[in-house]
Amino acid sequence: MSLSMLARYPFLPSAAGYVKKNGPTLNELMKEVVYGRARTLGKMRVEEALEYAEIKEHDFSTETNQLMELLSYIVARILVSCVNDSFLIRRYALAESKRAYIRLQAENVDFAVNTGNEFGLGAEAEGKNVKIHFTDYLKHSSNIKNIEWKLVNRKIEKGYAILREKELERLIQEALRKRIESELPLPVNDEILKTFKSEIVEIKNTTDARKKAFMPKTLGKISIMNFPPCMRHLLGMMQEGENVSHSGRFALTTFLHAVGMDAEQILSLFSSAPDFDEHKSRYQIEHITGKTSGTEYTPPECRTMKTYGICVNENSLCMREWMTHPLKYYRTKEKEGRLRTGKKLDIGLKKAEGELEKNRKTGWR
Amino acid sequence: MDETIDFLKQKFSEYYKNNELIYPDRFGRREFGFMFFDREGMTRHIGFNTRNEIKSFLVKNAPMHVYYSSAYYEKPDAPTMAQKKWLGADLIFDLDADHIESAKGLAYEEMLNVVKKETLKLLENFILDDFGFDEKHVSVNFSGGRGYHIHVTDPKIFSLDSSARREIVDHVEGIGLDAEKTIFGRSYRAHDIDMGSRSNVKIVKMVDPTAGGWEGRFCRGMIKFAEEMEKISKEEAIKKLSSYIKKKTAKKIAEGIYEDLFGVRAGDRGIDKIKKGNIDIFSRDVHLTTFSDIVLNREKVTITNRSGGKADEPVTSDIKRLIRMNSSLHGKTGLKVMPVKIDELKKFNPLNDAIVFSDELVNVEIVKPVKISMCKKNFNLKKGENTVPEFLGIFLIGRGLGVKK
Repeated sequence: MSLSMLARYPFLPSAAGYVKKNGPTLNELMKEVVYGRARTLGKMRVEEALEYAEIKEHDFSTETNQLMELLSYIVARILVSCVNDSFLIRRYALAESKRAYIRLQAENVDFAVNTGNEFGLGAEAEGKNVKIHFTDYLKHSSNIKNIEWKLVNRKIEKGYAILREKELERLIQEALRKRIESELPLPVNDEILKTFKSEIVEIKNTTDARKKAFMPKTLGKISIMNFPPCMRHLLGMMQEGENVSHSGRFALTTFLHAVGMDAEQILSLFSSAPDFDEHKSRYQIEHITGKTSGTEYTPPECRTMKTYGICVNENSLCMREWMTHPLKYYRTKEKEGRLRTGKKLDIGLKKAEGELEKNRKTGWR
Repeated sequence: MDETIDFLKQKFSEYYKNNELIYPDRFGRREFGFMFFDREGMTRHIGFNTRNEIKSFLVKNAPMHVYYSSAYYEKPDAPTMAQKKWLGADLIFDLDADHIESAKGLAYEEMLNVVKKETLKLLENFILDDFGFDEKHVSVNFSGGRGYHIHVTDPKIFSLDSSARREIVDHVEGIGLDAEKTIFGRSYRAHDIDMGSRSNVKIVKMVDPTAGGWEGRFCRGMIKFAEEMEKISKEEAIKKLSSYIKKKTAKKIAEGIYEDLFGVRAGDRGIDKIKKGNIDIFSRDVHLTTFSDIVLNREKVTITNRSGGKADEPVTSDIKRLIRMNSSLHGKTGLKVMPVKIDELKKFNPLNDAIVFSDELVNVEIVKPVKISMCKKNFNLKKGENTVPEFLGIFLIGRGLGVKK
């Protein structure tokens, strides 16, 4: 593989092999003046991850640039390992994998198939399509939120899922993201920590600022204490930046909307997710809250939550026989609170419950 | 009562002593769990190193139920999951009469038949077809109670996590099926494709009945159901259709669907169009959604227990569940948990084929009249003391219908 390809796909084993054979030692990479550009680019990779959740396209025009680009991947991984923050690791893994996805789309299907096979996908090209064993498909697709990635909506023949080339590339993104997350942090020694001291401090500060910016301001009059455990759990995961499934996001969004939050407020709550994409999230939230779709979706009932595996930490109130819906839980808790404080019923919630009945979908999706 | 328990324990112990047992593969990596006749609760976190250890344990303790973990662990006998260290798990499907709406309230034998039908559907349509598992990696076991378990031991599934397994459950149950996109096509906004006054245009695509997965299954299911309707009179068909619809307007919808299927519009009837893969035959959206609903319900397999308005986590997606050991006895029936060859499943009758106890006579006192056919004999028992073969006596005691006299 050419150096320019290795620079574009620095996570491939052949890239590591190339560096081992032709590249500098770790010590040289850290100290020598000629690799200054690789170190700068490495720090840039991390900064871009924090800023845009995506590594930007760099200059690959000369061989030197290509080599520096390839080495910068190693530097970036070292820097992320030095800071050793789980938010940063997830965000960085996401950024690298997104860039790989974009680049892969410019390649032909054979390249995608070969790359997929580096991740054990066992893909095979079949005309314009690609087939992979459904268990390998599931290993990576079950984290992707969009409903069309559910196995039930996939063409599957005798154990093999049929994908378009672009879909294979999306799976590779997922596989790469998971691999980077599992590989980092790498062990780092004092020597490395000393060499990159100022870079580490800088990245740490940016990471903290980034995390803080994502923290929700306030929920206003809505009390999280009244949320059922499932919603508290989902919200917590969301704010910790953990991966929340499509059904989880749907449930949480509809719930937050039903208790009176508008799209803006929900958006700010969600913004701490490592893969937060304001444009996409806004679209989804506005769709679910009815701003763009005309339908205000309502949160799933308890049994559906169970089916999706997002009913967690059930408490004694959840266990009551009549407890069938997260909103019922919220209303019950609110009533309890009102009895204590003597406040009036929240109009927004009442309306939401009316909608709940009205909108109960006749479809069977 | 003591006498009854002693009797059962003695019989179970003899069985374990005198019979070849089937040990789960990699049993040294599995956790075992037991329930006993004379103790409350389950004893878990037990590990065994040799077949002999298992056998001696069973002979000595004569447990009521014997389970092992579908998962295997680094330390199967460690007390917590974290300490056990999960290594992988078989894929298990648990089909139980409890989960199946149409099995409610049936007699034991009929109930078992309903479950068997579901088992065959799951096996043929999903496990062997969609998932393409090789028969050598698939075993079907009678559970000893009210259903069947399917074990898949293809190494490809060992490392699947719980969310991947849940996708398998959803696939089998048709949950999250986006029929609009996956099967029928897509709707477009008018301004996207400039269609004049209508604001929403549905583009319905031709589907391929031979396609893999739900697309083909759905199409075939529609054809099959339509053909069933075609074979009976219009009146019966509408009655049958309405029986599926839980709405006030059921009859009107049923008539509409019937007309869409069998009325002649511009040449082909609806059913003929479906056979060609064109499912754009419904005059109203509610006809389409209702008909789809019916077909989906006929084609899917229910493996999640949703009784009482709650959905249990199905065994399939639980990666640390315990399941019954083959060749062990079910304490509530005295029947043997046993593998059934796939091609013998259709004619398998647990009340003949899973019996292990003798026809030596025993006296039991039963609490209500019982009519049952077991071991090719019909029994018609009255309330009170009866003399019956041992296998039936144990079955009745286990089911809580009698005590030893």
